Amino acid sequence: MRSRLARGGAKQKGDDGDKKDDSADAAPAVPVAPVGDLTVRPAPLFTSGSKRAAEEAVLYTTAAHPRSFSPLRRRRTGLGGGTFDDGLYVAPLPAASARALQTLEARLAFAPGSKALADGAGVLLRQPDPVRPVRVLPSWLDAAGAEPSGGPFEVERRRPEKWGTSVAGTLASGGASPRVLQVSVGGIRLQDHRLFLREHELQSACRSLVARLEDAHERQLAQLHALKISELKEAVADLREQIGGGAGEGTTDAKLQSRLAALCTELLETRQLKDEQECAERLLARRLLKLWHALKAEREAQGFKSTRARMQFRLVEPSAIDEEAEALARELEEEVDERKLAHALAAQAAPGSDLDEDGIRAAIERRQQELRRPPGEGRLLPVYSELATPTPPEQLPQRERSRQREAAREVLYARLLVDGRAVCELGCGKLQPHDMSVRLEASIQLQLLTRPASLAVEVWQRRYGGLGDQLLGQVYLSMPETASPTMPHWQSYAFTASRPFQPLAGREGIHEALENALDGVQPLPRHVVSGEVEVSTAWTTRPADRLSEAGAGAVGDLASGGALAVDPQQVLATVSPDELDPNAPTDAPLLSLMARIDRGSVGGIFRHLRNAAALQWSSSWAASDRFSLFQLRRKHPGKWAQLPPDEKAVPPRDSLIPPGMRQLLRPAAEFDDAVGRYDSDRVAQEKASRVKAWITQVRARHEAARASQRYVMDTQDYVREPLLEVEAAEINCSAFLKLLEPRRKLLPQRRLRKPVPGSDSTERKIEVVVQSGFDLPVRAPSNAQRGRPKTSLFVEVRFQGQRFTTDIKSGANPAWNTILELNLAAPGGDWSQQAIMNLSDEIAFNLYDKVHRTERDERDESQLTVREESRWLGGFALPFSTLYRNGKLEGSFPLDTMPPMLLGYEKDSESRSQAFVPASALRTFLTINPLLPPPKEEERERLTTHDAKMQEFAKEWVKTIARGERHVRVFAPGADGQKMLLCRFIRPQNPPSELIGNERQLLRYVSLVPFLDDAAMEGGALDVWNTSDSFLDLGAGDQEEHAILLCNYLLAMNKGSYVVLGSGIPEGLTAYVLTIEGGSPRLWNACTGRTWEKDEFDRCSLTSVGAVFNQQNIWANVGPGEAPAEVQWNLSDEKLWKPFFGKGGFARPDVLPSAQLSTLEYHRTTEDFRSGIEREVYDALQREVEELRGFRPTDWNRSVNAKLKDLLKRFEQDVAGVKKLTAIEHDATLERVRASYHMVGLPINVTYTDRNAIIKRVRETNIFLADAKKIQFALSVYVHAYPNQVCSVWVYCASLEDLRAGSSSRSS
Amino acid sequence: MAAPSAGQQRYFNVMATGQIESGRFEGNSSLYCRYVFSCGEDWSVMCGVEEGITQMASSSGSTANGSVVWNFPIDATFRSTCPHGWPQLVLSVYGEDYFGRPDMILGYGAVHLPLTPGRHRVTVRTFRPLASSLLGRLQSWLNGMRPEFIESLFPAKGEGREATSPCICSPRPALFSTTSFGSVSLVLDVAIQGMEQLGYAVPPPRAEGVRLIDPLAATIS
Repeated sequence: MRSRLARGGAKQKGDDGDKKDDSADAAPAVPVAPVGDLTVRPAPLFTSGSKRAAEEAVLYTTAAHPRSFSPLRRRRTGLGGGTFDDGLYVAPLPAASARALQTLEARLAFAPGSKALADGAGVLLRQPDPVRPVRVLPSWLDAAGAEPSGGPFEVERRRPEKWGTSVAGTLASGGASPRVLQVSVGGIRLQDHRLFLREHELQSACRSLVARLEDAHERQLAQLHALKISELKEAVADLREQIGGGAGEGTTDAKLQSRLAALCTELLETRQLKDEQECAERLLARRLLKLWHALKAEREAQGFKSTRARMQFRLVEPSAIDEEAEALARELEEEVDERKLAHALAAQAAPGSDLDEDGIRAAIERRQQELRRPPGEGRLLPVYSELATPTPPEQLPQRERSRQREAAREVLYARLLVDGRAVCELGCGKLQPHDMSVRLEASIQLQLLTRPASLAVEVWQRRYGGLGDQLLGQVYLSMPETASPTMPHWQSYAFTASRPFQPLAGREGIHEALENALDGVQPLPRHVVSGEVEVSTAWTTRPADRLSEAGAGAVGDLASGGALAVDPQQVLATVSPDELDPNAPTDAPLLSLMARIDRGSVGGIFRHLRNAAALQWSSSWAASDRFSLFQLRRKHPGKWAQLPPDEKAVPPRDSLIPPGMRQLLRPAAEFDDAVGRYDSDRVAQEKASRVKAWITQVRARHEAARASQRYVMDTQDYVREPLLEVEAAEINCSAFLKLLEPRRKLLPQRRLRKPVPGSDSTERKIEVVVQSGFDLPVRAPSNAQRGRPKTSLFVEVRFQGQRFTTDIKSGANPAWNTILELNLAAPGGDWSQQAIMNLSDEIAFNLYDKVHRTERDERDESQLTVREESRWLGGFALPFSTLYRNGKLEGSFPLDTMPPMLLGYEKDSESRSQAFVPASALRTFLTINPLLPPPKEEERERLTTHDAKMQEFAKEWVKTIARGERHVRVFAPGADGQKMLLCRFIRPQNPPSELIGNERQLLRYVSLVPFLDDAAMEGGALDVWNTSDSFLDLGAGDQEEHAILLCNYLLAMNKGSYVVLGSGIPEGLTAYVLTIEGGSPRLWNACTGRTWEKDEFDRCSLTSVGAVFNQQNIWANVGPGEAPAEVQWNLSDEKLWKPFFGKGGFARPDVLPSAQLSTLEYHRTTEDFRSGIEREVYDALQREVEELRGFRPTDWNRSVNAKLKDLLKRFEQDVAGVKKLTAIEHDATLERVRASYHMVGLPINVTYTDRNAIIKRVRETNIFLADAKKIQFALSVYVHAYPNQVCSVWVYCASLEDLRAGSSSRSS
Repeated sequence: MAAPSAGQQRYFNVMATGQIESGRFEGNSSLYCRYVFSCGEDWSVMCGVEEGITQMASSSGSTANGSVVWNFPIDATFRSTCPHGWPQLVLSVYGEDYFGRPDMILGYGAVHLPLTPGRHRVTVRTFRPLASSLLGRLQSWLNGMRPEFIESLFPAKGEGREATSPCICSPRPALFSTTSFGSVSLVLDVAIQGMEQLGYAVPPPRAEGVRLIDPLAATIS
């Protein structure tokens, strides 16, 4: 529905009823929203005489003929009574409610481009949509009239007349002048239809044969051939004469002869063609005769005529028989002559067979008999017309009458499509029941600025009053070439519907009848609607131009090929002028085109793209670097992210690709293992950059996974529904109950602390209570002193640069009970959960022994020098995030970093430790005051598309077994963004070949792979489980990766091993390895390298066991026990361990493809690399120590260094489980040194990440701050290299106090 | 400054200026509108403001057919090497709801900047998400907490429109659903510089491909 506002409804009435256009002219111009690029206007009808008369009769009927309008009709068409009586026509307004009109009006005023005034004076004028079909009268109403070909009352579609913004104005500004294409549709002639009788089918067969015959006659092929023969004959005769005259002239002769041979063959071919053509025409005529007889027989049989077909045959009397026979015989002789000549010429070129003259003659005669008209036979000229009057309806049988009525109800219409878009309906007409054809007779003028790619006409059948129109067929129109005549040049296009129909009864036998008539031409086996539509297309000029003077120029422009459709250069490329026959009429347009190209006057209105040559075409597109860049960007977003931010746009040309992108395109350079040369900066940098690259890559992959919809996305991922986030507030009745309770002043009630959201305004503290120590080292008795010296132990707590110490206590099991308050500050005042989680600060606990030395100068008794030094004994660090997650931490924390040997200290006599040093632990309590709100799982657990069902089940499964804080999970995010079943991470994997067979060595190796916390990653926590190969390649990972690698190694050694998920102190959520051998479980911490036998479980740092998994299954701990010591390690007990696959769990899939590689590859760490690190660390430490001591001289005892180095090697062997180091051996090595020196020192072992970490550790020991007379120092560095550049760095530092020099010193 | 030759040119520029003229949200009188430009990877904003918030505007009802006039200027210049990811203007309109509660989301909409230079009058019809369950819809109506898109650029993207929310209580997952309401009208003037040099054809301003004329009307006039 198109609507517009008009000022005053009365204006649109034509004042004098002069022309219907006037009514529209008076209405204000209304801009039209263009339909796509098209604006549609109707053109006047071409063959509009009768129709317009009928139209005018309807539209302008005055009161003189009122009888043709029934009151009913009047109402239906919406003609107002009064106006009708005045003889005026008012277009009917479609019905609409007042409310709808009001809304519509308001919206129109708001719509873009509206020029309607909103002052409310206008009336909404509603008109039918010009493009979409609008039925004014339903078809059943038309049929009820039953008057053939539009009775006195026929309602026509009306289109809005005046519209469109000024075309001329736009065109003037646009520059390019439009071309007008006129498309006319004449009629549709059906060749098959549901309502066809046998007679119709015969008629349509007649029509097609007649058309063929007419075509042949029109082209005068037979005459053309005859002409050609006579010409050729003359040419041949001329040539023969020439050859005869100038015989013996070598080259020219040969040339002429070959020419003659060619002419001869052509002559013979033309003769054959001519005969065939004549025969074809005769055959056609005969077939028509047969058909006509069949048609007449059919009419006889059915007793009425339902078509207008009429055929008359004219017999052209032949000339005298003998004359014709003579002509035939003459032709025969001529041809025989020519054949002989041809043969002779051929024989000259290649002598060979003899000519069989009789055979040739017989063959020619046979052909003549077959193809030529026998002399004396008349020529049959059929004249077909459709002028016969069909039987009037009164005399028809009932069945036929109803068929005709039904046929008359069929309405067909054509629709014009330009570039695939429907422009308008072109005409609409009812089926003529006799001809089975539809006259549409409509025309349209398209004003085109660009050449349309395709023009098509669709033929539609109207059904159910326009509700269920059916497409019968589509034909593509040929675009007219140059300026064509404005008169229609009709062309027929055949269409066929795709849907078959059931023909009327009685048509079954028609195939045989037709076959008879058509001499075995097979009609279609099934019936589909088919037909031909007559369309004419022509370029015309704009009407305005036609009138004006300037118009002549435009026409001329068009005529000279303005609208030329074909690219002349392309034609030239495919057709060469030599192949064209200048005489053939079919080649004429091509030849004229060629001539025009030669003249160089080809101008196109459809311009070429100026830079077409500079564009990259599709063929070269895939090979271009830009294309690879686009692909790279999509597939490896991580690599792309490394580009500088202002260089991320892919340049428009290959030549402009910046070097950074070129770098990406090169195949990735492998990490250069072969060099293996040590270069500290390079190694550190490379490692850092690789880890960084991996993190960015993983992040990018996760982003990509999100984008590529590998996640199963919920609406919650896109839409925030506040109500879903609101948690139902718990109603706490205990507060009321408490009021009722009797008050007991002496029994204070415990009040729960309330968490306070973090902000800078509330002062927040970490409260640390250092309660007591267990099994701390005690000072070894030295030679210089009698009795057991007392230790002066104190604990130093460090956090965020703050430092607090406890009091000094002594003994192996001191009790400090000191409360320390550390300020907690959020960096940048950012107290969001994310920021706090990412706080990488650690709360470091260090145990020191304070040593006082008093030195008395022997010469001056009054002078007493007191030296105080704090000797580091061990410590541990708690990540703040662990504290934050738990709210409070309480327990005994083992001193992780305690060195394996403390010179000058020994175990207490009650110590249970097997090592050189006691298994010391500190009992502490930590909390944040006031409490921070507990961390919420911000990231909703997402499902990824892979194994989505299993994931969904797992989610529910985890929920059902959730008990307390037990850490259970089934899926873990992999590096590629997909979630992976934990079991898929487990697979036996080969350990490095040099470590095979020794589980302690494997544990040592795994624990030496540097640790990198997920949470500590740049840019926020990233919980990703890496595969072992990637983990080893990166040389960094957290607990899961370590545990999985160790578990896989142990599996490769055929040990039944599992990974345990749980939480431990101090690391929080963690993963351990469990082996069960002979029923006795053993826990392995793959990060620290510690193991616990069953009886040591109470001391294990794993505090809560959540789940256990291996490559087969996942078992959740549902038993009552949580700590390892309380857990029954019998996985087959379903009351204690609930399996994921199994009873009540998920059905086990047939295959669980492993995420891990079957074999891991290792590369040896070169000796060069190892010694390089050793040298560098040693140098760095030495420099550091000397700097640290400042003005005090540092005296290095090199001989002790060498001894210590041997010891360090033994330490490594001991830890790796190769060869045990005993205290006796250790003491024996140092015996001689100790004889002359008081030696205080310790070995430090770290895995090599960078030297700063080692320096920091050495500084913490405070050893090098010791001072005494003639004090000496020893420093030894040993690096043990494991595969994949995993290095264990041992540093032994010791201070040597000369016993002889320091005889007077005394420590207390 | 000499212009780079055609072979050396790396970027083309698209300049968009205009106004967020008005919005029409029947039944809502006090509205403000947020706009953000969203463009592809190869695009960068050279100058201008990428996002902004209009003033709170209200209509007096009778004169303006219930539309609210902001007349908020937009001015941004983009630079790109590739037309893929052509800039889009993402609009979100907030206002009071029936009960006068402020800052309710009324509609989201997105529209590409016109690809032809010249002045364009654009009307963006807006939509907003509905709560996934019937109960949720009732609650959001009562509590005045309407569902919003988490990402404000969501209307400019195609992904996620098919998302479902698996509801445990119902067997069929609830489809992501929106309701359309209101429209915003904009005027955008677009200027494009340097695209032809990169081999892209730029249509002349406001050209229309096929047009039909009425020859009869033309001759009469």
